[in-house]
Amino acid sequence: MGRAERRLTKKVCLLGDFAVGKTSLVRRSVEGRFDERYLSTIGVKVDRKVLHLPGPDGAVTLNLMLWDLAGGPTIGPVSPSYYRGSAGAVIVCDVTRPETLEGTKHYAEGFQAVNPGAPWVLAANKVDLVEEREVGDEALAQAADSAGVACFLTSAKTGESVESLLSWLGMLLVGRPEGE
Amino acid sequence: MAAARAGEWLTEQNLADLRVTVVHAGPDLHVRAHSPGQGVMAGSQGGSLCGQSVTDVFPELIGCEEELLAVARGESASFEMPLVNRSISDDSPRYLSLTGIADPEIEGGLVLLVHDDTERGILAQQLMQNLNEVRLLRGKLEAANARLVRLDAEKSDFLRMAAHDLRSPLAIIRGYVELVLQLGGSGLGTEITEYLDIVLARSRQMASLIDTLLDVERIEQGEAGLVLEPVDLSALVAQAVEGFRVLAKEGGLQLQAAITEVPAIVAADRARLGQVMSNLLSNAIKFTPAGGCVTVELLVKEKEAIVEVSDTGPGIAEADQAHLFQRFFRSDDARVRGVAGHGLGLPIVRAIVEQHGGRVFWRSRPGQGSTFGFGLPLA
Repeated sequence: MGRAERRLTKKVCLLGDFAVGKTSLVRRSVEGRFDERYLSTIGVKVDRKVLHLPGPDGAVTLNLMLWDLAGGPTIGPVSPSYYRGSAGAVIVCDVTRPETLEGTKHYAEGFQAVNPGAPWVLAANKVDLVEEREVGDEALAQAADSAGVACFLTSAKTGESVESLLSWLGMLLVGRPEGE
Repeated sequence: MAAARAGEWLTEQNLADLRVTVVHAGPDLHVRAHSPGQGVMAGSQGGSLCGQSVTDVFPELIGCEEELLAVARGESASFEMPLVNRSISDDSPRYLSLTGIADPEIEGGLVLLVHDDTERGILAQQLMQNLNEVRLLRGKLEAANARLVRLDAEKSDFLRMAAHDLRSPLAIIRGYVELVLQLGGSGLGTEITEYLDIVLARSRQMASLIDTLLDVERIEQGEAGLVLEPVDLSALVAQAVEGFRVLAKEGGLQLQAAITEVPAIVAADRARLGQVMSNLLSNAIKFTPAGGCVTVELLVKEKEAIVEVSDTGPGIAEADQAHLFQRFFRSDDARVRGVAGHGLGLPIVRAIVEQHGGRVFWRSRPGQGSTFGFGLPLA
């Protein structure tokens, strides 16, 4: 007799400097589309991404509540309510702007201060912009290694690695007992 | 019952005319009642929200349950979540602000005020959009600037290397030609001697061009160390004018000087400043046809000594004016009229003057002559 599929809901924050493509990653993942226009995000926008994953105790339907937050530096402080209760995070940098990789450390620290031990993954976005790329694989590997996280080379435009990234994070979340 | 109470509460608070919706939740954070309103309904499927968890109605509140319960129990005064984006699309923005307070009538209950904050949200979004676009542009400019600096350094290195590699063979050519002329003497014949003189003159010209090019490079890179001393600009200008009098006369030109009697002492490298005057006078004389006039004026204005060299030449086409100080730039007019030069005189002038903390300027109108000048701070 098969076990009933578990249903879980987890809050996941998307963090990173402005214009690194956080909203575009969410849009690609949730709506399957990409828009060239850059529109700054303010406050918070929540979208739902449903993943069906294998879990240690059987299949899991995971509702990822993706919190798309304003990219920094913002006008005024970021409300701590935005980070609170997050099970995980996607911290995004733009491979055409090296300073945004440097900024990921700051977001990781801020996120982990509110949610100690919560997993996060690094999204090195805009890899489709080959000619403009300024951040090499080595720098990304070094940043990911020193933080002890996985790094995904993503493109919200082409969809490259967007689903893999969320599935990876989903697996990390499913593997974690509730409340941890 | 609770919904009616919410409406009454709104009226009491004079909020009925605002876009505020009141949601009552019990200690289990499930909706018990709500007033009708656009705020809550935006983005939801419509119908009653009663019985649903507040985090189902507002997923933005996920993770904030403890804070909400603390407010409901009266342990915290209020809960705030500003600018919740409930836009249906990029073209239809909608923002809500959520405020939680303890329900004054139900023990452990929560009142959630949902305020339609779209106007403020749109303004804040536009402000952030403009700010971020400026930041992006600034980042691109900084990156482009860094690339240009790198390219400029590479160009300078190349120039130095090329100049060095050209100098040596030129010196050898010159040396052998001079030797042949010396050893051959009159036995070479007039025609061969003439040809060798041309080779010698051209190789000297080329060596001079290489020296000038390296000079520009050194001055522009700030590598030509200036030997600063108090220099009487009146004497220096007068001396320069006298030095060009013969050349002007040969060209059929009048050369005039109007030098102020006010002391014009500047801290300058005398030799370099002489080079500036020489380049400006040489240009003016070269470009002014016979019968014309070149005027040199020195004046003192406030804390600046100003030198102007004006001519009655053909003037400079407007399209050419923006390029006057670019290396190797030669106007179409100069090329057509066969005026000698390499387009390095003015770049040298600018580099030297700016190294002295001064400024260069020019005025020119086609057909009405030109004025080139510089200003230096008085010592």
